[in-house]
Amino acid sequence: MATETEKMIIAASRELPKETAVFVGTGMPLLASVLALNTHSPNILLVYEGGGIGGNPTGRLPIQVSESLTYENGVAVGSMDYVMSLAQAGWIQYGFLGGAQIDAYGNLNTTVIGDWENPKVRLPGSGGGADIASLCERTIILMRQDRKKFVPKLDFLTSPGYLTGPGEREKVGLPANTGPYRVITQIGIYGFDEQTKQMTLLQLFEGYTLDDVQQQSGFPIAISADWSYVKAPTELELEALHALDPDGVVLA
Amino acid sequence: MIKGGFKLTKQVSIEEAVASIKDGSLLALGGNALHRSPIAFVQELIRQDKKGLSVIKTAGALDIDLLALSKSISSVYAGYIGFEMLGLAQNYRKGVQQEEIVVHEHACASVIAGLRASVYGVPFQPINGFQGSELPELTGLVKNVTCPFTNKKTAVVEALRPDVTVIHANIADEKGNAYVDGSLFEDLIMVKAAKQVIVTAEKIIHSAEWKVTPQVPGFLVESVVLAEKGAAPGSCAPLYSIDAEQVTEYLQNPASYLEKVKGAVTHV
Repeated sequence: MATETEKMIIAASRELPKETAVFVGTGMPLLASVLALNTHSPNILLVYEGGGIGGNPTGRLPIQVSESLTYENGVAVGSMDYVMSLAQAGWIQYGFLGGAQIDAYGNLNTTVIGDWENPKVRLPGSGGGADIASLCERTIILMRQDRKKFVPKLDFLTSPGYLTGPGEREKVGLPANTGPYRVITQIGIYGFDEQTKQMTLLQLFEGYTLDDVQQQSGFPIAISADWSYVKAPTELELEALHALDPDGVVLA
Repeated sequence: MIKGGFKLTKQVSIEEAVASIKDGSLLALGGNALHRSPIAFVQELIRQDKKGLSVIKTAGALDIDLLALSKSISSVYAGYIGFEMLGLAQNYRKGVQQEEIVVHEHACASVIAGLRASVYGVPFQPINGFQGSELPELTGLVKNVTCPFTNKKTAVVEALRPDVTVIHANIADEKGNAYVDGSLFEDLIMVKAAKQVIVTAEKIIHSAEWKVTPQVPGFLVESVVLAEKGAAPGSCAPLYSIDAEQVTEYLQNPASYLEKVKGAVTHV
């Protein structure tokens, strides 16, 4: 029986196409990306914020974005400036994000809880988040879902989703055809409705109900007319995933 | 005048190098998160009780958190402060929440852009990727201008010019030339942007002995310090990786870690 974390990672890996460049963060995104590389996307290019490109380590996985394992057996090692400018010039299609808070339009907060001037909890900050959210064609957001995280209004908008609705990204000058693509939580997989640019349930994980989708969110979530259940992880996917993290750094 | 000059030898002890840092200086620290950050230098800053420092860092971890705990810093220019999967930077967090530390709220890329402006000797640097975030308007560090060529709204970052940049390298020589294995992170940009540069290194060789090509040119470097394990408990690839046990010990009991740092005699 797969755990919720395993199900989320496997679902995220399935979202990646055969060939693409993906901006990888540590933790679940890393496992999802390498899982895709080892299963259905052999030509995926992993780009790490610390400067490593195309790393394919043979031993354990990198657990931090600046580790030397991020460029072991890789294509190149540059600097953060090198990889960030790849994104700025539009060369990176996919990116992963997480956050402390998300709203209906996929805007994210990783900066503060409470007022920025007088914070209740100071969080790590943007890191590369604002860039990834602004510049990648398709961002995939991985986070747990509850009413504290799924909020009607963010305490701080660190990384832009669809801002306040259709056309707003374009209005502020963000590149065309970019923005949040999927949000994957323990409850389901969400996309963004073409008309409203608001979060919409596409698929539900077995064991959860449509009621849970709403109960665990501070804003209303539309349900796609043709919603379905997420296909259970295959033996192959689970085996490949466990092989990546034998010590359970992320999975445990 | 060339900023580093051409002294016969630039090697000094870590105590001497740190003694040259004035309270209230704006420092840029090389490395990234727990990797090749100049931790030995940071620990000596704490032993010499430096105060009111401001620090520029793309992504900080132990360095910034330790300086927050020792109450050595009054402001931070950074994109991210935290220990990634190991947890939040609790002492930095407390320092900010208690309003002892001013956050100049950046993203990693905007820190780099600010430094790049200084590298090129211009007052600001245009940057792509800040449209729609609240970062620009709140902090005033990123502003929007109209591009004079295309009339498009363009984000620009004010130049960031460190008083002193400190980087940790794998190898350096007596002239200040330095070699970094693997990712350079922002070290070279920080070196070129700063008024003054200090390099700490795992190993110091004579300038006639190079077998690899140094990336940091000695003429930009003021002084060189031998600091073996100078990035520990962080990593310095390929020589050593993160000492997870020590990092965890720090996260669990930062106060006792700080006492150890203060009590330690430098190892050089």
